[in-house]
Amino acid sequence: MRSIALHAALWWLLLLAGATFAPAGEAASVVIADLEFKPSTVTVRVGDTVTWINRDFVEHTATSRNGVFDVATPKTRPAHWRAQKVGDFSYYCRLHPNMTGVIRVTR
Amino acid sequence: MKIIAPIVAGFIFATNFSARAADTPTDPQIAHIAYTAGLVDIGYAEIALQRSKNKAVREFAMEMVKDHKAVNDKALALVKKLGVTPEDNATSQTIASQAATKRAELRRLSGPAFDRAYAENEVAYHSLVNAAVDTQLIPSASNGELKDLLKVGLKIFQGHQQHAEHMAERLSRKHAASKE
Repeated sequence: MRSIALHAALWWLLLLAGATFAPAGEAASVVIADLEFKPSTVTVRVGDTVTWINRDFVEHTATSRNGVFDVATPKTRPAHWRAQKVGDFSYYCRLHPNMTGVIRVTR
Repeated sequence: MKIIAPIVAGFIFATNFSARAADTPTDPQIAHIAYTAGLVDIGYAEIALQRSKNKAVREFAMEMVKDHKAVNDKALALVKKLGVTPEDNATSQTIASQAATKRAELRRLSGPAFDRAYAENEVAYHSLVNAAVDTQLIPSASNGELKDLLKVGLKIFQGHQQHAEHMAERLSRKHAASKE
């Protein structure tokens, strides 16, 4: 009986840990609203996918300043980019350059 | 010399806004001014799509058509919801009249000269409209939803201004390099 309770407690701990620390390959989300990337900085690991969800009524892009990615973020569907190397990727919207953000990629 | 025309037109436009500051525009007038300002920029973009072969200029013009149409559609939906009829006024008339003059100027140009004039006009026009939205229209709007739409619209138009500034700078550098 004690063993079952211990196992259940371990499962709960694993579930909680999974919710807090997403493993490599999981997604990090950036919401676009009122012409802002929210959050403006996200940290992911190599292999993770960043998803942008555009809630504005105009279209945007997520374009890195060093040319690594240029993702169209339409109003109709989420847009994705998979982080493939370590670094800080400063990005902006090509259509509205007053919108800026940073993707921080770690190992 | 080419930059002077938008500046003079802008001065008249800005003066017109300031002159009306004493008699604060009503919400129906604000809706009309904002809608007219959007239509004017769509008109400039349509000329660019007819006359320009430059990829960056054409992409910018297409963005102006899409964004200003989206903002104007939102404005129309809002005035319908609020049961407000946009009201024509002296500021809207000044904007429309100055735009007619500018459209005629742009239609006389072609090639890189057109591209530079269009880009410079987009910088000047967005700069003036943004200042007016920020200092006149938003503070004067009494309905909260109209004020919120103007605030989002201002962020979109500030983005257009920055985009236009980058485009004008690149075209100007290219022109200077071609003369060396």
